[in-house]
Amino acid sequence: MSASEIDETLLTAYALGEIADEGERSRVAAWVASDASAREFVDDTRASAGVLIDAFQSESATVDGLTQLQVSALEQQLRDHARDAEENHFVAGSNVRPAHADESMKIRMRHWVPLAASLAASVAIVAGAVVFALKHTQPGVVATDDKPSKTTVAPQHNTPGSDNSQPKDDESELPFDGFATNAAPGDDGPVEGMVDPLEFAAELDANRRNAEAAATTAQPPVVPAPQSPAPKTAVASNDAKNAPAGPVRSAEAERVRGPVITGTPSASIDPKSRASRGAADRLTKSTNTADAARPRLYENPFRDAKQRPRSSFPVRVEANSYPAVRASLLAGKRPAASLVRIEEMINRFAYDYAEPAEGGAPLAASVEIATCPWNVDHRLARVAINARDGGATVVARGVDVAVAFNPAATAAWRLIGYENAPLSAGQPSGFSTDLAAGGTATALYEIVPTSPVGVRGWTAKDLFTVTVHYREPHEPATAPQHEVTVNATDAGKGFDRATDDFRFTSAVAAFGMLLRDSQFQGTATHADVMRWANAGKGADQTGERAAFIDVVKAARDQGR
Amino acid sequence: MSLESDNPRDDQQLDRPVAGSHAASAAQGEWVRLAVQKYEGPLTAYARHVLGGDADRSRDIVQEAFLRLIGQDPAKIGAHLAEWLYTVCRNLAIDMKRKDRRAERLSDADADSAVSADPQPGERPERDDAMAHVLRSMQRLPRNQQECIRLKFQGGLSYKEISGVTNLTVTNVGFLIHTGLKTLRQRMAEAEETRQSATGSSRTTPQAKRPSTPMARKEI
Repeated sequence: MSASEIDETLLTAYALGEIADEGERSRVAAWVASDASAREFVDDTRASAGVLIDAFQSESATVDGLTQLQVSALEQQLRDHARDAEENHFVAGSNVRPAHADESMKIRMRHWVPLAASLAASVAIVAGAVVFALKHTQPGVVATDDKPSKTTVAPQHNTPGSDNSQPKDDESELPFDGFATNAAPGDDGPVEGMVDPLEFAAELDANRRNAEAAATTAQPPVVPAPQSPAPKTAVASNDAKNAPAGPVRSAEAERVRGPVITGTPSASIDPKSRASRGAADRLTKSTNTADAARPRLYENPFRDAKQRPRSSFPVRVEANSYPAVRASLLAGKRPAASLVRIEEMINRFAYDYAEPAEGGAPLAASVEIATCPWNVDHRLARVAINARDGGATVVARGVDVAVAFNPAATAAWRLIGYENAPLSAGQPSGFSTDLAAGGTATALYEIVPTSPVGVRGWTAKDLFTVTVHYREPHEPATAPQHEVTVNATDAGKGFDRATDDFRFTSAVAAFGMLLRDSQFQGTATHADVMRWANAGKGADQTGERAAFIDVVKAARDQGR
Repeated sequence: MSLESDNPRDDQQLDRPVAGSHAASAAQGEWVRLAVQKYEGPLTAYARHVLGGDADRSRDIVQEAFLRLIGQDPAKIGAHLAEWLYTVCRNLAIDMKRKDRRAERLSDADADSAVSADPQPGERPERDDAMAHVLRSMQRLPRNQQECIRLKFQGGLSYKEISGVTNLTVTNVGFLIHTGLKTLRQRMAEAEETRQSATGSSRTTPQAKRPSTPMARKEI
């Protein structure tokens, strides 16, 4: 390295704040102050650094991040971890911390077996009762049935030579060997060796009920259920039920009159505290340990619109879910969670979407936005794609939907249903498919706005843009795509002023969430679902909407 | 809300009964979620770079890194979160490449000095986008320079932390970053000159100046 290179390397380090030694930094600073060329070099270096930082940020924003399945696996592991910690601490609460606790924790974090987890919970509760009854005089007992079950454990990703994957200065043992890393992005369903998460959830649900029954029978002391930290805002899904007294939006008033804020508006609504901060809370609390007792379902989480501004969904889904759910409920049985696929249920029904204009594109996109009925602080957006009924079998090929959120208006968003579909940050989404004549596709997004509707000075804003790409049936696959774009403008409409189709779709989605015991069900109840479905029943010439209401009634009567 | 401030787990809290444990586990969950929010994109881009553009596998690696983070003690990792994540990602990527026997090892000197391929497949052509131009220029740098520059300006790591991730000396890291930056400046200047000659404009953006000529040795 030449002398000048040494100097320049030093100046680069100085420009980037990388000279730790104060004396040397002072000397370089004096040099820069007295030498115009050195000063110019430092300025250039900093300018280049700024350009690079911007470039990398723009790159990161367009890179496809983790798939929904991968994110869900992370969330599931977090819940396992939290549950595990709770059990360890329950034992610790008896002032007896097993010597093997750390090791046990590490082992058990590897893989949870639904049945073993449930049994462990039951045993822990019963053991807790014993421990409590003996007034901490006996050593605690912790369930340590840690053997992973082949029926539920995802293949390990412990590859030869992976020991060096931890930072070298980290002496800690790996807590587990991996989880579902073979869940290739883009997979539409469970991968080989990995249990269907929804089946898994159903099993857990049953086990949870067994555990609760066992706990009731044993009459244990009151073991404090994991409690959420006191909500700072009333935005999180269950917060509405536990909202602190004070000025809050009235759900009942919302139903009747649209968005209404009770209390003193200036004191009750602060965009930062309610919506923006609420979005962060929602993102981080959606699966907190208060939900540990819930069945572990894969659910699309809320996404930060700044970090993940793009979404997509397929225009064609299967239609098996609703008939199966209906048959199960009408037979007096709770449907397995794996049967409840909200996007399939929604798209099972016919909707009255406007036909594409004559002579124009063979398909149309439309968006309707109104207050989210199960969380009145949120907005619910229905995206509808419908094809011209022109008699032809296929009216558009390679149909691909891209939703681009506007972070200025949308703090966070969640695609309802489509739990097994991969997210995509760009085009093409991978959902490209053909659309038959008269075909429709409906998707719902629940949106946390950056500023709540109803605050003083609120104005209509575009929450997102929908672009549908397609080719005409006669065009080759290599032909450039046509596109139809629609801006999703939120005019602040209340749920009661939404269209019949919107209200009915919302009811179907809410029903699906209730059946799945979704953490995002908010304030929804079966009575709500029936009311919303009734309000959105419309002409119902085929009677399918009335039949849906009967199914909801059956679920309500069965306590589902 | 800083990541470091949310690491309440300590031995004292570990020995508390349920309420305390809940606070610790909830805080750790939040710590991991914040880490995912903050580093998911940059880590995926970095892993993709290390893997030579394999988007799917880069996601697998990033997921694995976060899964491993769940088992870690926030207090122990503390302010070294970024370094920890990048190290895990890098090591996993190298393992994956070794396992596949399909790519050169990053630690090989030949690989270190090799110029990487042209823009990766799947990159969208945004020729008018200055940012895209910078990234394309980046991809023509030797891989070891690219990596250090990514870790510095994408990961926000210090020279010392980059040294920890890459096993290079701090001096070497500083030299690679300096050399890479200088080359990039030169390419940006060339691109700017080309643009100006094409448009007849004489405006010069600050970052597109020609790099300074090598300066005379200065005694300091």
